[in-house]
Parts: sequence; C-alpha cells; structure tokens
Amino acid sequence: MVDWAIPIGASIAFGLGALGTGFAQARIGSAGAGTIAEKPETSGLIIVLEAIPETMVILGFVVAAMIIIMVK
Amino acid sequence: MDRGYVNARVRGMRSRIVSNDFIIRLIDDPDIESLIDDLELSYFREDIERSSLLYSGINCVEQALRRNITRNFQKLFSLVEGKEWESLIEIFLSKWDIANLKTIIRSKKIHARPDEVLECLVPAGSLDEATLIELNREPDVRSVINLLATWRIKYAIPLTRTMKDIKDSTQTFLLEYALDHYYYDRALSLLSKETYDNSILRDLIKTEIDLVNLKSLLILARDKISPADAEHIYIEGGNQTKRIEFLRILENNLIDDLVEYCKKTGYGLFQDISRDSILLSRVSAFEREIDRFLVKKGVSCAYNDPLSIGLPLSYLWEKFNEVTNIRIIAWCKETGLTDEQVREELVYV
Repeated sequence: MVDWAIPIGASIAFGLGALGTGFAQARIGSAGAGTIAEKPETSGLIIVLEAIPETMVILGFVVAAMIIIMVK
Repeated sequence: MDRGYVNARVRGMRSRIVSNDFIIRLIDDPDIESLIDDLELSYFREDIERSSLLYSGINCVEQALRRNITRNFQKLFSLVEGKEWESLIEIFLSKWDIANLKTIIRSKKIHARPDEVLECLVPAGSLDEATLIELNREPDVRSVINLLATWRIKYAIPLTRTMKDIKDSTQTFLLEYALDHYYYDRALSLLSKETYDNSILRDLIKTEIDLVNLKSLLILARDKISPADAEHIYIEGGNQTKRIEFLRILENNLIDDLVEYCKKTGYGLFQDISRDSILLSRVSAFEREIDRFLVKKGVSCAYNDPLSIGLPLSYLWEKFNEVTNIRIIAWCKETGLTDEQVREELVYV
C-alpha cells in the first residue's frame, strides 16, 4: 500500500513556502516598481530586496527533499 | 488597489520636497536672482528653466512654483485615477477648483485682463487649464456660470442657485461663500461612509471647517460686522465650532473673547500669541497661527497607518507648504524684508 504521508508532508513544506514567497514578492515587487519609477538609482537595492523572500521557497524545497529522501 | 505601488511613488515624491536647510539657504540669499540660482540647483530646476524663458525675477519664481505644484498634484491624481482613492484625492484637489473659480469671479468683478488672471490660476484640481482658459475668456460672471452649467460642471449648481439672489456686482462675494459651502458639504457627504481612509480625510476637513470659521470670525470681529450679516458666512460641519457661539462672539465683538474661545476649541490655538498681538488685534498674527496649525495637522496624517490615504494627503500638504514658503521668501526678497521678518512670515518649517 502507498504511504501518502511522505508526499503530502513534502508538498505542504514546498507549497506553503512557495505561496509565502509569492505573496511577499508580489508586495515587494509592486512597491519596488513604484520606488524605481521615482528613483531609478535604487534598482540594485530593490532587486536584492525582491530576492530575499526566495529563501522561504528554497528552505521549503530543502525540507521537502529531506522528507522524501530521509523519512522511511 | 495596489497600495504598495502608490505608497512607494508618493514616498519617492515626498523625498524630493526641499529640506529645512535648503529653506534656510533661500532665506540667506541676498536677492531674488540668487534665490532663482539656488532653486535651479534643486528639484525645481526644470520648472525654473521653463518659466525663465518667458519671465524674470519674482514672476519667474511664481510661474515655476505654479507649474511645479500643478504638475505634482496632477501626477499624484494620475496614480490613483480609477482606483479607490480617486474620490478622496479629488475632494482634496477640489480646493484648487474653488480657488480658481473665486479668482475668475473676482476678476470679472474688477474687470481684470484675462491674460493677467490666467497667470494666477493653478489648474491642480478637476478643472484643467483648457477649461480655465475658456472660463476666463467669458465677459462677466453670469456667462462664466452659464458656461459651467453648459459643460455640466458640478460647481454650476451652487453658483446658479446663488446668482438669483445677487442684485449687483458688489454682491459677488455671495458666490464665493456658496462655493465654500458647496465644497465642504459635498466633501462631508462623500466621506459619510465609515472607512478608515474616509475617517482620516473627514477629520481633516472638519478641522479645516473649524479653522475657516475661526478665521472668518477674526476678520468679522475686526471689521465689526453684525451677526445678522455674518450668519451666512458660518460653515456647518466642524468638530468644535458652533453657530450659536460664532454669533454670540460677534455680538460682543471683543478680541479677548475671541481668543479665549479659540483657546477652548481643543486645538490649543493661540497659546504662543503675544499679549501685544492681542492688544493690537493683529489679525494677521492669528491667521498665521491658524494656517500653521492646519498645515501641521495635514502633514501629521502620514503618522496614521502607513498604507492608508494618510501618506498621500500628508504629501499634498507638505508640497503646498513648501511652495507657500518659497513664495513667501521670494516676495520678502522682492520687497526687501530682513531675514528675521522672512522667518516670522513662513508658514511651517
């Protein structure tokens, strides 16, 4: 019989991380676009700020991978 | 609505408002030409360069500031156009429509030249430059109102209603009061819905009504106007001022009563006014204090929820204050006032 707990756990870890990242990047992206429109010299900083929430989905991916590989 | 985008744009625009140090540098300038040179080094460069093609001296500064405030206010309006904040910003910018219409009405009364009047108009509200040019071309007040009615512009409603009561050109001030009443009534009715953003602007408008009433009271008391003549000047809807009190003070016409009444309004006004000003009944000192209070109140809107309408409203007040202060400095330089006198005249730094 297939054990669904492992793929469900992995997908929750990855999915919630991705949703959180998407939400945060949408907010930062629109505010960042506004900032760059007024002050183009801030574009470097805005790109860095836009990338910060990526860590959440990367962590989610790592946790999901760990669940799949390590949980037996 | 994406508040983050608008918020970021407004913060960017706000960061370009000149600093207090820059204002002090302008005060220290020896004459109007060096003031223009300094303005060219700031965000006003583009406006100064354009207006210097047609004007020089104080007129150059006036036209550059007019262009700058119009450009910035219209830019902010374009950011919220078609979104939930549109009506709120439109309410605020309608002030300039009212001011422009009052200018045109007054100019018709004194038969001023249309080209001179055009330089005094600030098309920052819903009436754009083309509309104002056409209105300004009309020969008299009645034609201006007819044109507004033909174009179905909302300001025709109070003007048409009041025009019936006007017997000769000396009574055109009634039209100005009608515009003021219409502006505040309309603003309060549009803001009647209970939302956080509405409450910020409603509080500001109600405070403004109180302060306009207090300013009217000062002028009416100084000119010894009877309560019967002054009744239609009082504007309903304020937080603190009451019609009965307003008329009672006018009956006695005592400046001390008036100052005491203002102190009791809860705004903490006139705490720093010198006894000399009260004794000399210097209305200008009181008016300046009221203007300062209103600007401070408007600017402090930014301290509400950072993603609310407070920030755009605060920006509009800051921009208005910046342009007013630079105008005051420019006129003081033109008329040769000392630096100390200039500092006294400034609205809020």
